[in-house]
Amino acid sequence: MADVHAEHSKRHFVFVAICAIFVFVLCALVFAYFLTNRPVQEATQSHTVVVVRNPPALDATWDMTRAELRDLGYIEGENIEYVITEVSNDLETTKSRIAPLLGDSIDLVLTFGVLATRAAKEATEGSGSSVPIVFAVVSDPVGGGLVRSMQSSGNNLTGITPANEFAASKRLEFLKSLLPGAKRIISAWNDERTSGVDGLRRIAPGLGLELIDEQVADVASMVAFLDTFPYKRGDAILRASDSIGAGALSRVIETAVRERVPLIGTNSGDTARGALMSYGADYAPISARAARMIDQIFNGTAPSDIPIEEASDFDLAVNTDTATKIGVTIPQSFLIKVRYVYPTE
Amino acid sequence: MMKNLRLHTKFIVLLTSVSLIPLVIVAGVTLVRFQSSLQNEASKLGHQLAATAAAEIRTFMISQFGLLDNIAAMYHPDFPIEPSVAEKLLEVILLRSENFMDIAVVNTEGKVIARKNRLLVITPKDLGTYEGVEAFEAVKKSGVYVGPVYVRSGRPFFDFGRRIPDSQGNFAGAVFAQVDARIMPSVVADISKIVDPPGRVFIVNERGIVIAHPDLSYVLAERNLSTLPAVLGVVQDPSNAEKMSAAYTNEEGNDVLGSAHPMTIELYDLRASAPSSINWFVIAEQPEDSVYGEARSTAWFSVFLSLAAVLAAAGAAVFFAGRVSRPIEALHTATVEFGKGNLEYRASVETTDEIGDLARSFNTTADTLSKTVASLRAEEQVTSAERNKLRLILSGITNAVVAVDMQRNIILFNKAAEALTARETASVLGKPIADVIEIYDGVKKVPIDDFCPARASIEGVVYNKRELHMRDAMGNERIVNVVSGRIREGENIQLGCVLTFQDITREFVMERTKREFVSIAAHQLRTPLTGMSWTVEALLSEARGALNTAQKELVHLGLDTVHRMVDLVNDLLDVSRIEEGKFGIKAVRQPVAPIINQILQGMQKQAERKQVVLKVDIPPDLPDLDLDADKIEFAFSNLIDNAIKYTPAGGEVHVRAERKGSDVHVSVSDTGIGIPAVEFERVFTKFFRSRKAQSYHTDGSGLGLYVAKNIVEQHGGKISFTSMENKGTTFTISLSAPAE
Repeated sequence: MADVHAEHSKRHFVFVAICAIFVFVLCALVFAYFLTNRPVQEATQSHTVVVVRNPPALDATWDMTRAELRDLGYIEGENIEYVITEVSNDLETTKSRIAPLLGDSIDLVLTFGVLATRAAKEATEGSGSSVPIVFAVVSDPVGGGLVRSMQSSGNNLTGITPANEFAASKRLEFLKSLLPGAKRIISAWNDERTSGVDGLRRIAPGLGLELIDEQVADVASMVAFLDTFPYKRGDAILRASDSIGAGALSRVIETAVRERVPLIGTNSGDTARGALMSYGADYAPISARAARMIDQIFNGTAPSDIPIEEASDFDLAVNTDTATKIGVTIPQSFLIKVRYVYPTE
Repeated sequence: MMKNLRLHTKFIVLLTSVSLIPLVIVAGVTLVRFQSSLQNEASKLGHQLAATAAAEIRTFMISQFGLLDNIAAMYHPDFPIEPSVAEKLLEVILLRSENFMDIAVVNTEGKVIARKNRLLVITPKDLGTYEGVEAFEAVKKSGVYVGPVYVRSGRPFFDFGRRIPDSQGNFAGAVFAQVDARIMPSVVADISKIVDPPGRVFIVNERGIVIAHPDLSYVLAERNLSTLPAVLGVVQDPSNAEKMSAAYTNEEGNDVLGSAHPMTIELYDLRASAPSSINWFVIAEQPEDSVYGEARSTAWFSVFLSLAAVLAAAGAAVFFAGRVSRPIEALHTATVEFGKGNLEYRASVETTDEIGDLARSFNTTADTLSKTVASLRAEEQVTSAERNKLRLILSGITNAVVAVDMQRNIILFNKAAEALTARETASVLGKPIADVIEIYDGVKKVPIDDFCPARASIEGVVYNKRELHMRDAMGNERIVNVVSGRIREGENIQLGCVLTFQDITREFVMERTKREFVSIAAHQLRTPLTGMSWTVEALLSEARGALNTAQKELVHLGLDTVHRMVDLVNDLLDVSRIEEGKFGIKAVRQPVAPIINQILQGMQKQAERKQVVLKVDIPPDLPDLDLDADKIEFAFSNLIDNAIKYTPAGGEVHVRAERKGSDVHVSVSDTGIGIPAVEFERVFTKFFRSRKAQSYHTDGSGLGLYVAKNIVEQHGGKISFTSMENKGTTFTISLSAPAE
């Protein structure tokens, strides 16, 4: 009899024990499920980006891009590293600056201006690497041979174009409308494509302007040329919308002010720095776009799947200080067309 | 233990089911309804998103049209404005607008009369014509036009058109603007923020091509998302696009619930014949997790709750079941113990409920039962002792006893039966008696129904026969006397017949041997006796010399003796023949009187010598009988001879014959010594000589009456006697007259 009871109690115990274990396991599962179901932040690995700056003109753009990346969650030192270099005088030197920086740990190359972009492209091609390249501010990338088409680059590049090859002509039109007395346009350019010099040549006569253009090899030559040019009344300088033009900006502004010659820049940044006026794409959205493209690429999209974009906001900017300095009056009828007036109050 | 577990398990299963099944049903129903309401919510949300997107885009369009209206107003035919001034104003409007890329003004024929582009320098030769262009025709007809979204050099655009009315409201030209369509992606990007990531809202045209998307690349790449079920529905049947598609995995690999909502943007021109609408569709994708997330977590929670309920119920069941089933188990143990024979076991249940009552009544029953069993055991012991006694007795009985049941199968077979049949009890028990014992009366087999009938109307002996033949298992012949009786059927009695076999084989064989000896001896004696008789007679005939008186007396004596010996031998031979069944009669119908008279004549001298009076009474009208004269004469003369012999001098011997019915009675009475009553039974047996007779007269073989009886019985008659000691004896032979 006691035997029976003991047997029963033992069975009881075993049963209860099994139940307890079951409950425990179940709770663990439920707990784990609820845990894993929370949206988990993606494990962020660190990205390394080679940045090819193009000071001074495109530095503002670079700053804006960096700020945009931060807004997207890429904190320098935490999950992103920048290896910064800048363009040199010419293509080869720039290439030689970029090439050593490329390596397995590099996730992306960010370039500003056509020179940087071309150098980066050739450098990566040369090393057989397919590291993505995002370019900000490169005009006519298709014509320049950088990409296959606007819809798909067909290679490891993508980016945003400010369409300066078109804007260049428009600038002349605006110049003529601001300064009807303008007679000659002086433009020193380096890159035929991005500077839109073809269009300039076509348009200028129709506007009653004489175009004096000069191809230069590097910043020094551009500066030298513009510095020593014999300016007369009715002259205006059109800053070339290429990397050399960007690089030479400060010097050219100085020259323009000194010579009391109107200088037309490619974007509002130029005007902010002292150019009399500018017409071109707003670079802020370009930076935002570039940052977003970088984010997309880090999330796995291939550059060739990201169509190249054209900047959308083309605006007029004037610098009233410069106007005063060089003795130009900006009529109201022109001002109403202007988006950005510098210096800002 | 196993059985108890079943009850246990039943409890657990029952309680668990009772608690779980309703819970599961309710949870299931709730979940289903919850799921469907979530789906409705999602659908509604999708609808709202679409409506919001449409509203925002409509607002945008209206604002653009507002600008176009301003331009149209400028180019009103009645409005006095210089073309160059108008152009300047056009440029200002273009530059100040955020979204216009190009503005063109056309006249009634469609010729472009003014155009300004944000990026391009427009020269007079760049002015073209809109004649025949769809946009122009549309504006002419409806007053407004919104063209499809297209991508040009990395930017999305769509064209707007607005009619320039004259003061009568007639068509007086149109304004066309190339509008940056980036407003659309930015609208959907904003709206996409409303849905949980990775949900999104985007817009496709009727071919499934993305025209607005939070990711501008989609628009610029003019991605075709017709593969998505939501979009596919739109492409296949644009008129019936409003529907909620099932959950699917989109091209980004996210599980979403998609819905398509046609964008209805009506642009009215008061004087237009019909509103123009746009064939665009808002696709809202909501992540499945967020739509059903709550349902899922609720479902999990329900599952968890159900399991907890199961466990709680199971725990309760285990506890409760134990409480209920333990007393039952105790009871069960009690019955098991009881079944094993442990009658002193009592169930130990102290609960006050029905199970306790059951246990108490069980115990009471157990008490009664154990007492009954004890007394039954005592009785059984007595019965067993009796049975043993019976068996011992049966073993001791020298007669074979075989008992059969109602089906005539052997149920009892004692030791003597074993010896008789040369079989073992074990081998015959249960077998039909007909297979074991076959009885023959002479050569005829005795049917089993004779000595062991299936039914008997009387209890007691049904068969009693002597000297039957049977063979034992070895084939040896046995002679038996069989007595068989039935036990009347009672309720609990299984006996059918009880047969007793007295093995008289030895006696029988001895008898036969004796008989054979006598026969042989008699035969052997005959010859010398005949010789002796002849010799003595020859001597008496004085053929070989004279004999003196004394010698004659002696020889007579000798001759008497020889004659007596011859009689004796003849008697013996007769007896022997009778016993062997060779003593037959030859019956001839004849009167009986002459035979008797002849005997009497012959006995006259003897009677006179003994001074016994012979009386005769024979009626003359006796019927003729079928008689063997010699044999019947022997019988009569034997009686008369005895009567004379055993009657003292002065006595009387009366021979009477009378007819009684169809019989003839012949009686011989004497006044002789009589026969003692104790010897009546043996009177007709072989070699019987009454003591009185022996002491009275030493002669006599004792065979006469035996033979006489045999003779009378062979005639079909009867022989009987009455006697009183010292008074007299009367022997009567009755013979039946043959039927006429």
